[in-house]
Amino acid sequence: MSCRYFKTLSSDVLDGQASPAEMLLFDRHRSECTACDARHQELLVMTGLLRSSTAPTLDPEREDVIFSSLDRDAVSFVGALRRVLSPLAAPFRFLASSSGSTFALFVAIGLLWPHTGALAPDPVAAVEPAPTVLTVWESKADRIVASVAGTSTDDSWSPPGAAGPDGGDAPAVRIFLFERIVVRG
Amino acid sequence: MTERDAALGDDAGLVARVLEGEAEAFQELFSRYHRLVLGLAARLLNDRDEAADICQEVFLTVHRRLATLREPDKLRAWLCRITLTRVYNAERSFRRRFRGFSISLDDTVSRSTPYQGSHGDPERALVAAEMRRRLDAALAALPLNYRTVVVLRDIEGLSYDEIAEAIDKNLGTVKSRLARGREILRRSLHDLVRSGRETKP
Repeated sequence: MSCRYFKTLSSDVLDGQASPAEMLLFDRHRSECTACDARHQELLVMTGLLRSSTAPTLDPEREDVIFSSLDRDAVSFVGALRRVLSPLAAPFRFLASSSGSTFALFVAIGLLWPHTGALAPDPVAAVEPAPTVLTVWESKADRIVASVAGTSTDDSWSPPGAAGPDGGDAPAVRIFLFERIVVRG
Repeated sequence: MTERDAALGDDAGLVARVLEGEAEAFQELFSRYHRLVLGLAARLLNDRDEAADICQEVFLTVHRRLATLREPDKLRAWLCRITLTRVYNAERSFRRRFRGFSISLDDTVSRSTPYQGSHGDPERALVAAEMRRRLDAALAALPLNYRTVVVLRDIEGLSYDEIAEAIDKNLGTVKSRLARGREILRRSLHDLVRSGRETKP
């Protein structure tokens, strides 16, 4: 195993968090690797220094200030209200947390899901095609012979004898309303 | 059972007494834990006055919200968690206010060192003071995430489980942050700890 592994393990060993097997491995490695042994010794000295540092103390005046603020809070109406409401506010604190708000979002979606139909837009009515001029081709002079307006429900309807300029059939007509017929030569 | 374990086992009883309205119980809770709260805040912020303000805020919060503590035997971790929330808020606000300013870390640490001076042999006191100054400066230079776990474990003596509870992370994160934080600290104090290792009997 590499020194990198023992570097991480060193901290666990220091706190007695390593398993007996890990301890055995670590001790074996330390006996072979002087660098890891030195590092572990330094960590021991360093944590010893940290543990020996004295705790800060609070000035007596400051302690008095804290206790008087606690006393004021104990007798004040707002303080009493806060203490009464604090246990009730736990669900709101949960909702204010990130996991709580995610949970609330999913619940809200679940509750609203059956009603999403009401939120959908109204179905759009079928749009009728705009009135179109129908042109009929004839072999003689280009002149208007008739102007007709009317409706037809027959999709395949076409004027009798109609043909395209190249002699083919006129395209299928899907027109419900037409105004005039032009005849071309 | 150690003294600390006994105190931990007693926390649930203490909380119950406070909630029953016993006048001395809160004072007992304060005297048992104000050093922890103050020490944690002072070491993370390097500002003793700010730490005292945070200590006041934390105990006011405890006074108001103790009834919401679901597991009274985890009082210590809960206190640390409240303190850390306040510390992080103060740190964020400090960074916002003084963005772009640069201050000497040595000056800050020496001016607001949370430790008391040592008495007795002046030369020894001088060496000890210098060692503390170096230690404080190295600790202050650690990124806050690592500093938090190092202070909680190596100075305040919390267990891994309590640290995980206090910082709201899993055990793996606690272990890795602790290993990394200690390694950074060891490197910055290399000469100091090496001389300590060599003079060790």
